[in-house]
Amino acid sequence: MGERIDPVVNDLSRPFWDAAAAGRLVLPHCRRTGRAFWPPSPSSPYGGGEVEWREVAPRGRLAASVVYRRLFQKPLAPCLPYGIGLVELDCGVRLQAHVARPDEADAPRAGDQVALYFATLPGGSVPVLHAGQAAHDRP
Amino acid sequence: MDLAGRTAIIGVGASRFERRPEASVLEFAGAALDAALADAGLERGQIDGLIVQVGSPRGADYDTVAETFGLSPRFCSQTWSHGRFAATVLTHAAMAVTTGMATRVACLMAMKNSDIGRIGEADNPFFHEQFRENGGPHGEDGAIGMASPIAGAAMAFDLYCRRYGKDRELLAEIPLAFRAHARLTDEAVMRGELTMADYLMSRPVVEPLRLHDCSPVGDGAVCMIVAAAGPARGVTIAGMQGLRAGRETFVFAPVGLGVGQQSTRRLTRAEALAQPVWTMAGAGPDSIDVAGLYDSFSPLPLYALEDFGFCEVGEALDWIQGGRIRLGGALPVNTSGGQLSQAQMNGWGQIRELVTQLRGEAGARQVPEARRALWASVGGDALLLERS
Repeated sequence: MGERIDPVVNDLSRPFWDAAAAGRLVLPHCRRTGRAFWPPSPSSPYGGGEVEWREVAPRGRLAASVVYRRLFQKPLAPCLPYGIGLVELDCGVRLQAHVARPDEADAPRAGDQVALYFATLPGGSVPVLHAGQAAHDRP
Repeated sequence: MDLAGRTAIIGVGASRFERRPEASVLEFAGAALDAALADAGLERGQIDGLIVQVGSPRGADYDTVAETFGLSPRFCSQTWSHGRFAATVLTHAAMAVTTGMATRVACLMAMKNSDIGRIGEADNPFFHEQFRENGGPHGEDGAIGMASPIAGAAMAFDLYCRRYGKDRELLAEIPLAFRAHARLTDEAVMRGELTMADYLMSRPVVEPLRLHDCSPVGDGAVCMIVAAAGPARGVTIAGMQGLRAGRETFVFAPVGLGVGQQSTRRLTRAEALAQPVWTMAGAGPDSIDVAGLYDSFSPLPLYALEDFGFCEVGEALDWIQGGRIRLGGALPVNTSGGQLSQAQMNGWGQIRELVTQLRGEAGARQVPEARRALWASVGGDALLLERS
């Protein structure tokens, strides 16, 4: 068995990963206030109350990013260097996403509008969140 | 019940700081405990409280410590196996003494890192933290490749530089200043000369941070004994502040930077000057002679300087220049080298140094007339110490 890279999927997080497998981005929302939030919670962080998962537009602004020059996770050796972006969605939630090939000219830069999409990483069996140039078509 | 000034650190001690994979962490713990007891003029049997930070798997848990060293405490506690709880441990000790739960509390941080690889790698016992439910303790997310604590520090610093339009190379003054201080000790892990050229050439790890922005792993222990204020050599705990948590908090960013789910509303100057550690002690930044600021990664002290009101928000990178945080400057910071150069001791080495400074025992590093010191972490916990 290789080094773990798959996320922990359980009853609380399963709606996110089920949607991800279908290529859709869903987030938990506070039913009372309508606000989206992250990370998942069994009750709303905005005063408690019921939660429902809703699809959100997979777009946002790249607020900041980092670039891995050193390998920590062995399965990701073929990806190095890779980036991680902090993406602000229109709904106000921030998510972190993998950014492939950050040194290339068309890699997204901080301040750019980016598209979020799901793809697997080496060693992984579950599609995980990626950010790329909003103009690009994604599989 | 008012805690201000009721307790004192009556003894401090440390092991050697080194990388010795073949050692037992209990050897480091015992060296620090015995040094602190000797410093306080106490016997082991006089310790009736024990609070441990770190514990297994990097350190020894409170029960092992008590059994191994023949202590019989009636009040014990322990915080988790990371940094960020140094001031909290001493605060718990002050609370225990003030409320009569214990009279002399040994506060111990002992850990050994040299044999467990880097956090984030598969052979490190903390590997699974990046898969912790709802994210790792420093923003890690192993499923997308966001591994190791450095990534959270790098993300916050990238956002900070963009938000305030700052040149990231200004950060060099933090590791350079602390290295200059470490060279005045005989115990720092990193004591070689560090120049700006060395810094600029240093290997990028997770950009925008480089190798010299990271504290080196090491082995060692620090022990401090808290008792009622009074002894002549004691250093009084005049102010205390706990750790923050919540959606406005990210452990490697100031309040309101906009990392994770934080808002973008920074503390106002009035709010910074009203932090609990200041109000409890009836003091402010202008009264501080020497400071210890948590520095596992070099950007972290910047945020503490802003959140505790030493300078305006967004100005710390400029404020630290020109020798201001070096010995001889207006606010010497981490005068024994901090975690970046002395040793990564979860902030405990810095608090020990402040006690040494306030007792006037810092030798070549002595800040003249040091009477009041602040230790603070970006996460919010803080201590204000005064010469008794």
